[in-house]
Amino acid sequence: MSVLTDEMRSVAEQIVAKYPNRRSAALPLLFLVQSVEGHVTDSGMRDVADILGLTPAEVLATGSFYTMLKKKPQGEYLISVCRNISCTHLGAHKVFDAAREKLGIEPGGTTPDGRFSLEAAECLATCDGAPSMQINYEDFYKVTPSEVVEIIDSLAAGKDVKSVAGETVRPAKDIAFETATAGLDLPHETADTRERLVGGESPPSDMAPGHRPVVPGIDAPPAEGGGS
Amino acid sequence: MTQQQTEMVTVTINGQQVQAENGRLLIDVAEEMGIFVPRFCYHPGMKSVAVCRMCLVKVEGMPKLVPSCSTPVADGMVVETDTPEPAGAQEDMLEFLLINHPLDCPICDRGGECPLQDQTYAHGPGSSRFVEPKRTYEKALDISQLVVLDRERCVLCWRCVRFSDEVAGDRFIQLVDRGSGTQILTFSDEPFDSYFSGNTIQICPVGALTASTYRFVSRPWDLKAAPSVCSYCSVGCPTTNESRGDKLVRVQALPNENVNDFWICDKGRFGFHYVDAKDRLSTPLVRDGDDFRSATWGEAVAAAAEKLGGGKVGVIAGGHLTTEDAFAIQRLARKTIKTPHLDARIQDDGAAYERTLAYSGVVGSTATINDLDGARSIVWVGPDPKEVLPVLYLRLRKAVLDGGAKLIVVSPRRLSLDAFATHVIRCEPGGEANALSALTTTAPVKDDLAAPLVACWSPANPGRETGADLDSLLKVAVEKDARWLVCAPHAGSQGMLDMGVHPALESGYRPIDEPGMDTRAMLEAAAAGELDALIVVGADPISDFPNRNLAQAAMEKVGFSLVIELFPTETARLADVVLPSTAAPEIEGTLTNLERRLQKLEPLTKSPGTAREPWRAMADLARAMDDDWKWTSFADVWAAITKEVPTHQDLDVAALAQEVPPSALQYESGTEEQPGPRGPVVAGPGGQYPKGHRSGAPFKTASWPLSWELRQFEAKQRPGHIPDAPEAPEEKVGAGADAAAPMSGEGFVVYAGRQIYDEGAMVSRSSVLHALSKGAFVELNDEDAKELDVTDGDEVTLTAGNNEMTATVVIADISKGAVFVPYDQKGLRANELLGAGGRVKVAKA
Repeated sequence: MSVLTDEMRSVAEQIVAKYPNRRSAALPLLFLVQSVEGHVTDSGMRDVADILGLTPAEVLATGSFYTMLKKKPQGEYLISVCRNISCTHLGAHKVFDAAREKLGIEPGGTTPDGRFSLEAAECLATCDGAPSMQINYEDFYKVTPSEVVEIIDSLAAGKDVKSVAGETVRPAKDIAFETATAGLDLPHETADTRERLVGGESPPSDMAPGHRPVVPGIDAPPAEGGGS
Repeated sequence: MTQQQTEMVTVTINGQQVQAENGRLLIDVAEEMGIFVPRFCYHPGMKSVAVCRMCLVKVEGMPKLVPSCSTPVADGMVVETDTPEPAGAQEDMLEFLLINHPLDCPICDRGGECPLQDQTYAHGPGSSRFVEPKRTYEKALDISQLVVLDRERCVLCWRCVRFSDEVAGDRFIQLVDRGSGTQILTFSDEPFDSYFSGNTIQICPVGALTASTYRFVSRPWDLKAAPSVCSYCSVGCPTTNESRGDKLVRVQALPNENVNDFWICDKGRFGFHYVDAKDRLSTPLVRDGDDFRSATWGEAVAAAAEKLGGGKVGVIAGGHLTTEDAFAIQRLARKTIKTPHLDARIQDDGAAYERTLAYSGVVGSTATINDLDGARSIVWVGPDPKEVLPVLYLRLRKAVLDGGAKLIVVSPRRLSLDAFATHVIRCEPGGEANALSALTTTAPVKDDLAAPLVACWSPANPGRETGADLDSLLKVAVEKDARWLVCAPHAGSQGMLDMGVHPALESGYRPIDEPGMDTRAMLEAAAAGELDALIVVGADPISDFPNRNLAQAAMEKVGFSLVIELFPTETARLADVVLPSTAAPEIEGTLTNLERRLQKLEPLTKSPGTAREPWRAMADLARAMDDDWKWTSFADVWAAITKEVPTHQDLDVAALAQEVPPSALQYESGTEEQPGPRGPVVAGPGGQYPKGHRSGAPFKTASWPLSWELRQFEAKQRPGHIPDAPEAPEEKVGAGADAAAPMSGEGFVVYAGRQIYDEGAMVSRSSVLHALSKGAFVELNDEDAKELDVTDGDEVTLTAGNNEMTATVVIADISKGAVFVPYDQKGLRANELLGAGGRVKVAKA
């Protein structure tokens, strides 16, 4: 099943045209498929391989290195709380616990409604703003436990939330689309553009745990949580 | 390779001075001196990456230790490999590698032949300071039917990844999750679907990649080994056969820079289970009404000899027999039975190999496989080499991608070569000759036909061979001062031509004034009831001849038939007498490959029951017909060959014998004799890597004249005179053959071709491979598909005469108006379609 619609594929071709070699477009195209499904699925990687003339294994080898390319379903808003030394000294663990309680999920998890994911981040390089946090890679400095709850409530209610730089926090798929299409002459309203190009609902994930290849007749079903 | 202008430099390694070619890799130069530098990632068949850091050595004047696998030698270099500094670094590297390695040697197939194990004994610390838990992964992933992966054993040397990328060109296996969690993996549900995947098992320096057919089967010290030659296709890759008890359990590539470099295809590696097939014939059978009864060898031979004495007798031989068998077959036919009717071209019915005779004095190739490496241009006309001559495909790929040769492909359909060809010329089936004639005059192709040029040809379209394409190619070759590879399809096919199992040629390529009948004529005569007896040796015309009905009728109508076979094939079931035959791993023999190189097979396992080599059967038949050849051994046959075959008279077959390879063919593990820095060690210098061109070494352009005199092997192994340069013939033998008549009529032109895994008697009995065959498919041009209103994956009905079969549509780059069908697949027997005139109607099912 193809992840990219015909219109999306024409966007992909515009991206490819920016590079001297087709395969150089692997990363933006991976963001493009992430903008459709919220994370990079096997079908998404197959689409990228198909467009670039690579094997899916090569796309996996490239994509699996980058943490911003998500290998499992990811919430609309990813909350990353720094857990390194400066932030921890200044109470990052309390911020983290507040978020965890508010959302009812463990680090690495996603809320059942698919709106929030939570992760403990390594140094975000903003020690002066400790305890530091990012939501969809927008910075928040000197965050208190009550603030993080407030921010989550605002986002859940669909209100605008602004980062320290005054940027509005936008949904993950929009950011992925913007990353993929940077430098292309596409209409500004990225969310609308993306919605229009994606066309319809995202297909369900077909990710197998640990990318386990299944050989019919030989294989037992993969063990839960096995693999890498 | 050339000996031209190679600058020699003086290097000192561990106090010994040595002269070495400038620019060669330090690790190679040391190894040739007998100094083994431990390594995991370095492999002479691939480029250096220097990722395992195991081969660190000290070079005087360099601030840090350097990896010897990526350091070229230079004049005055002083190197230490075993002083405390490099030895300490090697020890540390091993300690690092063993942090995550499970050390599950007792349950690992590699145990006892493992470079990591051996080098740990030789260069390792002996104990570890690491106490934390080791990395674990889900165990034993079947990444294909053939290859099993245990990720925790992997030391991340990249060999399998580099092999897939550099050598095979099918990148199915990769390093993913790079970083602290790097692991080897294939993509989700995509298997490691390569024709060459088994090579990654052989070069894996640990037990991470293992063979599904060899898991937990044996320990290397329990194996007995013999050097042999793969008996599938005519590339003739040297192999090591290994047995436990008397059961053949493993086949590995035996490196030979002249033929296969370091590689064999998966068909050669995994296609050996046929020797133990349940239905393997082990006793002679004599017809008893509708059934057979078992007989003694003498009884069966006597029964056959009685019927072969008079009348019109035909002899058909297959392509997997040895040179000795071929010689015996023609001797029985021409000398004892005195019939001129013999042929060994079945699937390649009518293929005009003999056309080369007028140009070069030999039937077959004038070039060697190694000539591809020095070529500046290569022309390929024929079937897809990846399917039919897999290792030749690797050599062609290397010649183009490493050697810079320009490849020109002439074919009615897309071949795997197209991916790296400079020019692809698409023609109609049968239109190859015209396309080739235009090569030398049409820009831009003509500009890329630069000498040295190697012209390659192999019979492509069963039943429709006219020789016109070969004639055309030879003309191009002569005009361009080129040599050629004329590739008969099977391992024994060239031997058949050399020994004169051909209606128009005697042994030693001597043309016969009054040629006998070829396979088609013999079958037609038999079907018409005009043939008194037919001897079929190692062939199954009913499955393989491009007219199934004719072959069937021939076997039914012929007065008497003797079939010598491994299995009860469709042909054998219709015989009057059946004699059991031997398989390649069981015999002493020779095979002649597509470059006319003779190579020796050594026996390893025993044949079942009373099975004997076909040459013995021939000698027995002759004796029963009062013509005692007095042959009892391989040497006796060769005494007769050197006496009777002019091209082979100076050949010393004893010189072909190879040393028995170590039971575990692990070149990097070394031997026990060599003392290491700290006393005697298990791993010392490696075995004998074949010397010569390695991708890791700086690329050099070979000059043409030198490349002809390639190797000292040539004179020894390639019989027959090869002129210095091809000459235009005064008069062509059998020339003037009609160019392919345009096929008129309704429907699509059938263009058939073999696939690597098919219903062949040997492959279909090697169960792991049989499961990989592609089944019934038909390739259609997209315009034709549109007209038929079908698309990829649809079922269509193919109708030719009274035959109807269904196949799955594959839209492909194929000449319009033609369809490609695989030759011998389950549910699709192309030889039924071909029998009805070479055209087929296609309709949506």
